[in-house]
Amino acid sequence: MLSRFIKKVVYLFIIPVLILCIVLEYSIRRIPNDYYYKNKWLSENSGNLQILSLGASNGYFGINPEFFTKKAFNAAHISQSMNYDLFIFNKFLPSFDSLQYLILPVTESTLISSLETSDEFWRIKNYTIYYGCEYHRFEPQYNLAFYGDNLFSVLSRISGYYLHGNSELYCNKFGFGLNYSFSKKSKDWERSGILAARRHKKESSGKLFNENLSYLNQLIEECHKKDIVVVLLITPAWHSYLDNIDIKQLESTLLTYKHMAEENNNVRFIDMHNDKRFREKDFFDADHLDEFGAKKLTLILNDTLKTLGNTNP
Amino acid sequence: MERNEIKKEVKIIFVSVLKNNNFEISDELTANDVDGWDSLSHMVIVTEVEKHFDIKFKLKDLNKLNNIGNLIDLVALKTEQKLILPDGL
Amino acid sequence: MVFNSLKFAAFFVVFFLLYWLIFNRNNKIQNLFFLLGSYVFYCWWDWRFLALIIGSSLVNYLLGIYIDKSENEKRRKFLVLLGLIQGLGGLLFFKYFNFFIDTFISAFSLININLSIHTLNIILPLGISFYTFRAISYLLDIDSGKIKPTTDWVIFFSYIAFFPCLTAGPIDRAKSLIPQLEKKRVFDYSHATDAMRQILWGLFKKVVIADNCATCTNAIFENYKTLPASSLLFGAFYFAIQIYSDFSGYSDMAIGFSRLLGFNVTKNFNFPIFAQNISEFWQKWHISLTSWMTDYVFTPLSFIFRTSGKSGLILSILINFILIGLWHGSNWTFILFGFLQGCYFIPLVLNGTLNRKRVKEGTHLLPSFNEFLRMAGTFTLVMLTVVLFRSETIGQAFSYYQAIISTSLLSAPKIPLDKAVKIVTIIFIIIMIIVEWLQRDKEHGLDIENIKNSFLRLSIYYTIIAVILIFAGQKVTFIYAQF
Repeated sequence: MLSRFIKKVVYLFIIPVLILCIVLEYSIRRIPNDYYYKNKWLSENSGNLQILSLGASNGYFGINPEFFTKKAFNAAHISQSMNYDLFIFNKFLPSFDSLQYLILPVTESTLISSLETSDEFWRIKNYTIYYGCEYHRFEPQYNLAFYGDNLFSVLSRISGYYLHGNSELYCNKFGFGLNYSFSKKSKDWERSGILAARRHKKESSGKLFNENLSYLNQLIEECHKKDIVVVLLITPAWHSYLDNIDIKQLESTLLTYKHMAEENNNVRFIDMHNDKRFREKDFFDADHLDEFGAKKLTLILNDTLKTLGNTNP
Repeated sequence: MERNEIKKEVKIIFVSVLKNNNFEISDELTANDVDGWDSLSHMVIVTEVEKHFDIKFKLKDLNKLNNIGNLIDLVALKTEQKLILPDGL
Repeated sequence: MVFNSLKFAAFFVVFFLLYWLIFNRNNKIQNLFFLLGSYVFYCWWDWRFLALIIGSSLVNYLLGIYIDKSENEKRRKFLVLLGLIQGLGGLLFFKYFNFFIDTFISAFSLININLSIHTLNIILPLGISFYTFRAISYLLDIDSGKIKPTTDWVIFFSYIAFFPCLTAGPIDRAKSLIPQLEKKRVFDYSHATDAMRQILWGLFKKVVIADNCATCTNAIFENYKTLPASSLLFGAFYFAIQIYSDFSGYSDMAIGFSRLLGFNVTKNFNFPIFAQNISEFWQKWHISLTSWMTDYVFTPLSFIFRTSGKSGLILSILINFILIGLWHGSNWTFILFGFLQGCYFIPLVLNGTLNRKRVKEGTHLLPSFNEFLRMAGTFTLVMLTVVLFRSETIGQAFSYYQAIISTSLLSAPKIPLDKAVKIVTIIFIIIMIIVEWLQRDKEHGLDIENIKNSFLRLSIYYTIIAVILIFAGQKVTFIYAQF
């Protein structure tokens, strides 16, 4: 009786579902995406890279390394938190022979958030699969490319790539995010500032803050050893965002960044939150630049980096 | 009081409360078998039975009832007790 | 570890195989392994309160034995009281403490006294509402002589921590579950296959219907201030369907998993969507809770108030439903929800229609027009009150109601969502309602043993599995796990 039941379940249900999963997993993994591309690029080119930019969406959409005079690359991903910045940096650290600048776009919520606790936690699998990150090596949901999507979206991704050639590579060859350039300005973008500000407002968590601080300190330390200047950068934002953010949270993080820059002679802090050079046409939504804004920001940074010495004045 | 007599009178009470006549009263009859006999009408029936036979139940007695047979036995017991111990003693 | 997760699937497969293949020698070994599995399951969710559930089991186990032993009526009452204080005290502390303090403070501030009492940061121990109710019914049933206490601690501890029903019910009574724990379970093929069907149907209701509805309700409730009234009505509809399919789906899974292990657990939902009046609705909705409340709250109350006639009955109903509301959480919204449900009974009591012979839905294919009107009416009444469930404050619920009563009720509903999601959700809701209507005299929606063609049965299973894989909604935590 029992064996009949087990056999039936295994043959009729478990095996077909397992085969389906394997086929899907294989097909999904073959679709090129940002994570795959950036890991590959860094593995091949990190030796002569001079400027590396990390961070989350504000960096991904804000810095287009095309406009740096030095050889630069943007390894930011949407919602990338400090632990993954550190992971990517450490992974390629041994081969960073000519790296001079590490640009780290930060926000007022960077130090109190993590990918693991955010709504975008499903992105964790990309670090495990494409970057070989060990943080969640033994958790099946962070090792399967199709996990977290329902079959409908998995199938449409697969048919999109294999039938229509839609890859999931959304960055240019320098790692700059192009999604926002394809679509025009987001609708209702005054309101987007209120929503984004609300999204970034977090319960302050002492534990996360301490963890992130230690990741940041590790980054700074490693950079110090290799004479790399760390630039903590706050990217420009629209007033509808600035008017709605949690002032307390903002002030305390700004203070932390300033403090870091004072304490470490290889750290610079650049706050462009309210930079008047950025106008309406430079924004995609209230806290992200569009391709014009990104070009402007990168050119400004390119000039600024020249004036930054290797040690604090 | 005769047990059969009690049965007849109990049936009348059931019919008047439940407004439903399509059940045969028997000792094994339970709430599941009778339309409309549920937790809400149950207490109305109990109250009517108490009034009719001029007796008082205890919650504990009611908790032990499983079917109509039990109820009739309980009524019989209570009416007997009333004869032995009239009010005021 | 919710049922619809890979973790639970892995846990259950391993547990199932060990339970039937290795720890199957005799009843004692089965029970010990079952208890161990229950605690592993509990720790996986949250290990912090394991000591609480073990302690509570121990106290109630001993109380049960002593209550049965004590000849002295006073001593017996004292022991029962002790058990109630332990159980309800735990519930009050973990679930309602902050609520009472807050209410206390705001009551005093009304008369201009500002109290500064700090509320505590209390975390609700998982399943406490469910296992406390099991323990209380056990003691009260021993006290009233309905059952004898068990003297095997493994059996009692397993009864309290019964893992398929630990986090979200059904709340089984000792009378039905303990005898099953006392006998060796034997694997039964047809039970197991039907259990699988029930799990599949539950999973469909949970991840296809409830989770997709959740996307719709969230979109509507978060923007209710700017949407036309007709959309808000849709919001209430989606949410009513969401909690039904969420909770009944989860119950179906819990019952199915219990059956796979050889237990028969009480039915929790009996197709309440098709109830023809509010009294019938509550006999079909969350049955294990309402029957618990009926036995231990409503019946004693209505017994006490029985001399006051109809007003006594109404009072008992109101108190009973306010407590049912409060059981769902410590918020005034739940209290008002219960109160309104109780009020719905008043016309039934006053008209005397409560006890009139109910028109049974026949076995015919379609309901008659009158039946349909009564079902739709009952569902609408329930639908309007579940807005309270979804609101954070009574004020919020009232502004939602206010927004519904406006001229825009007649305009076309607008829901700020992808068209595909809306269409898919509506289609599957309709399919679920049709299937459950056709199956309404069965144990569960997918009880299709009567279909003799095995190829047809198999295609039904594959279709449902494909639908689940294709249309599973966003992962939403199970609503009832926090209750």
